[in-house]
Amino acid sequence: VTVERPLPALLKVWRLRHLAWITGGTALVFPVLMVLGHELLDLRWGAAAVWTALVALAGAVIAGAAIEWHARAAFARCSWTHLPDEGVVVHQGAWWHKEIWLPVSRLQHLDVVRGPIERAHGLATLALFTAGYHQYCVKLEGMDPDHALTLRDTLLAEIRAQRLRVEP
Amino acid sequence: MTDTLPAGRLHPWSWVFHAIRALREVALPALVFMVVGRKDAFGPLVVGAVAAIILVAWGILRSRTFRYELLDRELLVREGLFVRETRHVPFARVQAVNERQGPLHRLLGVTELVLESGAAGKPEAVMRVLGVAEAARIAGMLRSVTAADHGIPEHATPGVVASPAAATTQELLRIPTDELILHGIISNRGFVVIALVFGIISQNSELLDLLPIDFKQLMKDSTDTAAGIDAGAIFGVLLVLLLGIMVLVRLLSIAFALFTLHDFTLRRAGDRLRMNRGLLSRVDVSGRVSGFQRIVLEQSLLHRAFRRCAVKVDLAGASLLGNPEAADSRLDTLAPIATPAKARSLLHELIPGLDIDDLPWQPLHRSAAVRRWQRTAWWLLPTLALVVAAAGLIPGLPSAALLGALVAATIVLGLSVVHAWRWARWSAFAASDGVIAFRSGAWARHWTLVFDDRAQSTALRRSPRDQREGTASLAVDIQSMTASHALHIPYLDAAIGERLNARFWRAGNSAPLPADAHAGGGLR
Repeated sequence: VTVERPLPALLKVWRLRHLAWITGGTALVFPVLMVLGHELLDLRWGAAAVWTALVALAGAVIAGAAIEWHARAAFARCSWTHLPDEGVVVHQGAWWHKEIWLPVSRLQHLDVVRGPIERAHGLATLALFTAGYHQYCVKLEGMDPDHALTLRDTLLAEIRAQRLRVEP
Repeated sequence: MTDTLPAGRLHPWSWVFHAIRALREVALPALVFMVVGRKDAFGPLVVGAVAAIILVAWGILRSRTFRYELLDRELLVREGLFVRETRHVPFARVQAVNERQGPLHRLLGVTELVLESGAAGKPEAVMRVLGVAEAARIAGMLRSVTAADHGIPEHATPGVVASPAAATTQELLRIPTDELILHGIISNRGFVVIALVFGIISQNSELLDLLPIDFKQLMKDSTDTAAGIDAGAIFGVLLVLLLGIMVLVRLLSIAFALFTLHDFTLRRAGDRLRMNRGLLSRVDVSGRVSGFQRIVLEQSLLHRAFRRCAVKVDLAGASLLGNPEAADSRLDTLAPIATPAKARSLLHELIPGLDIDDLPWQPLHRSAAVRRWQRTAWWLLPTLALVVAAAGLIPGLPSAALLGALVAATIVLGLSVVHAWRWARWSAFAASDGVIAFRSGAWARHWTLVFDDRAQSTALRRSPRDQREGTASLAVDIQSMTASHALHIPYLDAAIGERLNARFWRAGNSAPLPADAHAGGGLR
């Protein structure tokens, strides 16, 4: 039994995702701030645009730094362990640590997902589904694609063996 | 009429109920908005007429395209107007058989039949509507089928034991009318009615003119004479008014209980549990004892004053999100009101070996009281500070205001401390015979019972504070749509948390779910 950790490239994927979020967020906030500056502070449109750009940039940098700090902490904590014939234990959470226990007998189906960004970085995500409600899907991100497929097949075999034990 | 029905079709009156449902979902909000919010009646009338024609057409098409067939071991359902859908529902998979009959249903001699499996999301089959005899035939057939008949292994849990298939029906609970009145007093459902009335009046103040009392004149009179009346009289009037409203709310609540819970009976036949209730709308629902996911006992302050409690249950696969109106017609309550002794024997009946008073309760971590108080303190302290500051700083307030605010703040603060202390003193967990239990509460009390082999997954969580204190919280997820985690035990010693978690882990691995429960996925 070995503790597995996501590949370092996962941090890059997260960074790209966060960058997209921050860019999108800034783009949404920008016009609002600009109108507010023009209306409330009586700035001319040109001045409002410059000030808004400065404020938005500062906000984006601060948010980006905070998110990066959190992402690093989360990455450092992220790990999972496959206990053969028993299940998977997943560790998550940067500061609020979370330890999720998923028994093999409760796994409903398994997905190996590879988005375009993940493919570009040679990563895959293994998603474990249960019939639960609040925690019906647990994702193991940043896996080596071949290993993700191997782990999926191993788990599928274990699930089948479990079912056979119940319904001969 | 029901006897001449061609087999496998819905009742000829079905279109009415399909139309009503469509009306409720889409058209009603729009209609209410137009009728209540507007003064001229012509526009809404035209729109209403067009809507009615569309609704009737929709209802007829929907009900005409629905077919069902009872095969040897499964029910075959074909439905859909544009997207045709064929569904096979194996009898063994049906966990719940729910019938609902509103006043209109009863007038037309029909009933709505809903079949649920353990899967989340949509029910397996919604038959809207069937003749009473036909529904009884299908329901009776499904209820007589048990997991044992289909070679599905019985649940080998010490907790929930499925009795042999051909068991006789046994009445577990019947609630007499005086208990229902008590339930009405304890539960606060009267406010629902009041809120509804206020909502309508606020939308449409002309409604006030219909009342025999002239409110506008009354208001005018009172403002005219306000100067001449002393404060004591105003206070007296307000007090009487407040008392009157409180009594009215309780009376409405009693009426609500009498109507919805009339003739509440809980029966058991083997693994099947069946519940009937309702005066105007009859509800007849059933579920499997082996499908129990969680049992919750509730005891509010009023419950405690009258020495009563309520027992609720979560079955596998609650389909509330996709079907909100099914919320009140599924087996979710074992006893809306019962004496603690009755609740105890009821639970003992359903889960042999379980004695809720005799569980080995263990206290939470010693830091629980302080941390519980800190959870309220972070919003309570600033709020109180704000109130006191306002009382001291706002000009024009009498000097007694500051003193009063200080006294009130002290009392509230004291109460919050007592609350946290009592909460920590009474809250405890227990693990015994396949059941993990958590009880909590300071004045109102809650017991949550989860079977250790029903967990879908568990999570041990450690907040930064937990990491410093050496504690953890345990969250358990089950196959049921619970508002928050099915079981969440906070402030556990980390080692104890791991031990509890290990119990779920072992039970999950040694006693897999019965096959009919493996049906998750779907709507989230």
